[in-house]
Amino acid sequence: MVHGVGVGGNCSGIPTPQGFVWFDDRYVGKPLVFAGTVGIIPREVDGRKMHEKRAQAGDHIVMVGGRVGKDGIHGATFSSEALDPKSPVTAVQIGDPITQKKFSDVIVHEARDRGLYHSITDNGAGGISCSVAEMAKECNGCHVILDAVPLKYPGMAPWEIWISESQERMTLAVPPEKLAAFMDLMQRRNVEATVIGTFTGTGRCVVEYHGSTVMDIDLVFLHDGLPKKQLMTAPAAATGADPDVPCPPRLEELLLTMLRRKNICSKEFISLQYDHTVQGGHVLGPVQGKGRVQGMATVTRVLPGSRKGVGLSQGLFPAYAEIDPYRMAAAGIDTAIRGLVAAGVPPSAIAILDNFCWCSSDDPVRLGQLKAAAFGCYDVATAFGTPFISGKDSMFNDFSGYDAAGNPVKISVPPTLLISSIGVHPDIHAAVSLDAKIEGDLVYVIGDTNEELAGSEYFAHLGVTGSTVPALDPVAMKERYQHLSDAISHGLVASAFPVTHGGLAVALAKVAIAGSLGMDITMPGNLRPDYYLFSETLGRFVVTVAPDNKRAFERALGADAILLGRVGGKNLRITGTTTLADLPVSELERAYKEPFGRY
Amino acid sequence: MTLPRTGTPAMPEPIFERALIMSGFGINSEMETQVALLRAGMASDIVHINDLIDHKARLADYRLLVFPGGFSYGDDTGAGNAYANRVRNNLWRDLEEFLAGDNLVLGICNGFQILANLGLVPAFDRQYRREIALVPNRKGVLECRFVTLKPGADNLWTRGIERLYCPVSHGEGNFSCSKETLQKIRRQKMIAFSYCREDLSPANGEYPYNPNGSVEDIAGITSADGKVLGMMPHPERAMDFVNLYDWPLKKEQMKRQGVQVPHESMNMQLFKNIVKYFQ
Repeated sequence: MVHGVGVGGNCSGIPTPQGFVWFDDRYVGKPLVFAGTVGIIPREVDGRKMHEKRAQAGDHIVMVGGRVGKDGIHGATFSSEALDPKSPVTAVQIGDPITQKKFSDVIVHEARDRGLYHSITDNGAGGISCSVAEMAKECNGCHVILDAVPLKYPGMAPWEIWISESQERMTLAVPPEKLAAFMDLMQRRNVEATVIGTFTGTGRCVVEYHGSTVMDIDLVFLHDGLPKKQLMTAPAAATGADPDVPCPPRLEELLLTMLRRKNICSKEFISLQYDHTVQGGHVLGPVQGKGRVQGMATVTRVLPGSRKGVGLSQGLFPAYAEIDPYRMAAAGIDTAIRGLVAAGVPPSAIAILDNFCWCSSDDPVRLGQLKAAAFGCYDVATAFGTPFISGKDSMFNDFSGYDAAGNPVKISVPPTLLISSIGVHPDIHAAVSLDAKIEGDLVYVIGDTNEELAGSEYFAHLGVTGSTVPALDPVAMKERYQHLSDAISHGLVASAFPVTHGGLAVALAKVAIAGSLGMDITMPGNLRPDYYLFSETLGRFVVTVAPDNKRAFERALGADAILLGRVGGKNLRITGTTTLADLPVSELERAYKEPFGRY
Repeated sequence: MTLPRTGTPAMPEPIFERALIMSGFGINSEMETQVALLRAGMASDIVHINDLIDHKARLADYRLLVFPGGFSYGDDTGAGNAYANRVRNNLWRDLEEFLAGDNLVLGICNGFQILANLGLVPAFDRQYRREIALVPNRKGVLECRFVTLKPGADNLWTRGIERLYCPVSHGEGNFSCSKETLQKIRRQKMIAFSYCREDLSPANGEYPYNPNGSVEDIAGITSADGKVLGMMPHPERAMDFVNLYDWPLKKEQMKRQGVQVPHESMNMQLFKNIVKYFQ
C-alpha cells in the first residue's frame, strides 16, 4: 500500500506531505485506504472563467490517456460492497501514473490555456458510462460508438467497455473547429486521444456497437430515474463501562508504553517515502523539529514567490464510534480544524470534507450511528462556520469468509469518519512548527482538561471502553481558536501542537522530543493524574512562548492559557502533589521511534 | 510584534543567455528549476523533448541545458534510462555540438541519472561512455529528506558555497563506479558535492547523513572539463529560507538575537554561480 501511494504520488510530481496510519484489529478484513489531492486553477484565462465547463451539442467526445481493459470492472461497486469469496479479482485497476502525467502536463500547460475543449471529466467510477453521461447533462445528450474506444486487448463485451474503470483516462468535449489542433497536440506529446462519439441535444444517451444500438435511454431517467430508497434506523444502545483500575503512583512506564502504541508512535518511515518537497513548496513537512516528530498539520506553498501557503490536516476517531458517533464526528472536525490553527491558519480560512466508511449499512443500528454522525457533522460545522466542500462514502466495509477451522466469520470495520481540512495560510513566514525551541520558554496548555477517556488510547491500553467520549462546545472553541490565531499572527508563539490521541502527556512528550529539549511541568487541578495526563478532551493545544511574550500571550488567550512550566534540561519532569514522571527526553524519543524503527 | 525580515528581493534583470529546461514523459521539476534560474538572473524556456526532436526549438539557441528532476518513463527500465535513450537516439548530434561550445549542462536527480546514462559525466577526455551508475539506495526505498552538502572542489558551480542544505528525493541515488573511475574522478577534482554532517565533517557513509550509500559520500560530480554538473539533491526545491527543514527553529533563534531573518536560502548560490559564469 505504501509503495502504491508512493509510486502514484511521486511519479505524478505532486507533493505528498500528509499521511497517517490508524490501527484497529477490525480493519483486518477490509483495510481502508484514503488518498486525496488538492489542485489549483487560475480564476480566469483570456476572460474565460476556468471553473465553468459546458459540453455543447456537436462537440466531439474525446477520450485521452490509457486504454480500456477488463481491469476495474465494477471497481466502485466493489469498493462499496462486502468482500466475500465471490468478489471479482479484476475489480482493482492497474495503475500507470506516467500515462496520466503525460496527459496532465499537456492538458494543464497547453490545451487548457489554448481553450481547445469545452468540458472535461475524469474517468473514475463507472468509466465512460459515467463521465460521458455526466457531461451529456451539460448539453442534453450523447451518442457513443463503442467500437472506437481503444482497448488493451480484443475480446471485451460492449458493457465491459462502457463501464470499465481502467485508470489514467479523461473524457473531453472538443468542438469540431478545435479538433485538429487538439489531436495534433496530443500526438506531439505521445498521448493517445480518440474520438468516441458526439455530444448531442436529443435528450437521450445512445450507445452503439458493431452498427447496432445497444443502449438508448432518456437522459433524465438515466440520472434521476432511481427511486429514492427508504431505510430504517434504530438507536444504538450505549455501551462501555468505566474501568476499575487505580492510578499508578509513578507514570514513567505508562508514558513510555503510551508512546510505543502503534497509533501514537512514529511512522516516519512512511512519510519519507512520499516526495513532499517536489514543486519547491515545503514549509512545514510531515516530520518537524530536530527530534523529528510527525506533525498534525503541514503547510505547503503552492505558488512560487507567494506569501500564502496551503495547510492540510485531518481528524479520525473510530474508537469513539461505538460509544457515541455524534461525538466522534465532533472530535474529527475539531481535530482537523485545530491542527491547522496550531500551524497558524486562521479558523475563518478553513474548509473541510468528510469520508464516511461504514459497515453493514442495511442494519438499522449501523444506520442510526450514521445518522448521529451526520448530525454531528452538521451541528459542529455550522457552529464553527466551516464549510464542507466535498465528501465521499463507502457503506459496506465488511468481510465475509471463513476462519482456519472453516467456520464462517464476518469482520466489519468500526464506523469510520475521516475529516480532512484545508486552509489558506496568509503568511508562511509566520507558520508555527510543533517543536519546543528555546530553553526557558514557557509551556502552556490551552484549554481545560476533563475526565473524558472513553475510547481513548489510554483506555485501549487498559483494555476497557469507558462511557464518556470527549464533548465539544464549538462556539467556545471558535473563539479560543481565533485568540490563538491572533497570538500566532503577532509572533507570540514559538511552538504549538494540538492535544489529540494519547492526551496531554503524549503531546508534551512529542513537543519535547521534537525540540530535543526537556520540560519541567506542574500538573494543575484535582483530576486523577493518569486521567489528567491521558484524557482526550478536545480543543486543547500545547504551546511554548518566549518569556518576553508572557504578558501579551496571556492577555490574548485569557483564562484558556494554563501555565504548566518551562522548557529546559534534558528530562521531561511532571509533578503533581508528588513527582509523577521524570524521564530523559532521549528515552522518550527511543520509545516513540522504536516500534517501527527498523522499517 | 511583527517579524523582522527583508522583503522579497527584487528580481535581477535577466542576462542575455538563456537556458533550455527539458520536460516531458514524467519529468516534474521544470517549474521550480525555471523559477530558481530566473531569480538568479537567467531566463529559460521549458521545452518538451518532442519539440526539440521536431525542430520546433533549437538547442543551439541556448547556453545552459537543464535536465530537471522527475520520474521520466516512471523509472520503469532503470532511472533515467529511457529518457537518455530518447536523447541519444534523436538529439545526439545537436547535443555533441552543444557540448563542444562554451555551454553548460546541469542535471538534477532524474536529470543526473539521465546524464550518467548518456555518459555526459564523467566524460573523461570528452568520451561519452557510461562509467558511473546511480543504483538503488542502500535502504531499498525512495527517501525524501534534507541533507547537508559541502563542495568537494572549487569550480564554476561551487564558488562561494560553504554548504547546501536541501532535499534528496530518490530511490536510485547510490553513486557507484569502478575503483579506477573513482580514482580519476578524485584526481581530477570532479567531486562537486559530497554528503556531510551538519558540522560539515564527512558523512563517511553513515545514514542518514549519506542518505543512499554513495561511495565517498558523492552527491554530485562534474564532467572532466567542468562544464557539466550532475547532482542528486535538489537545491531548486529549497530556494527560500522557509523551505529549509530547520527554518522554524532558526527563525526563533534569530528573532531572540534581534537578527534579521533572511528571505533566500544558501541554495540559491548554485544558480547565481551559473549566471556569474555567463556574465
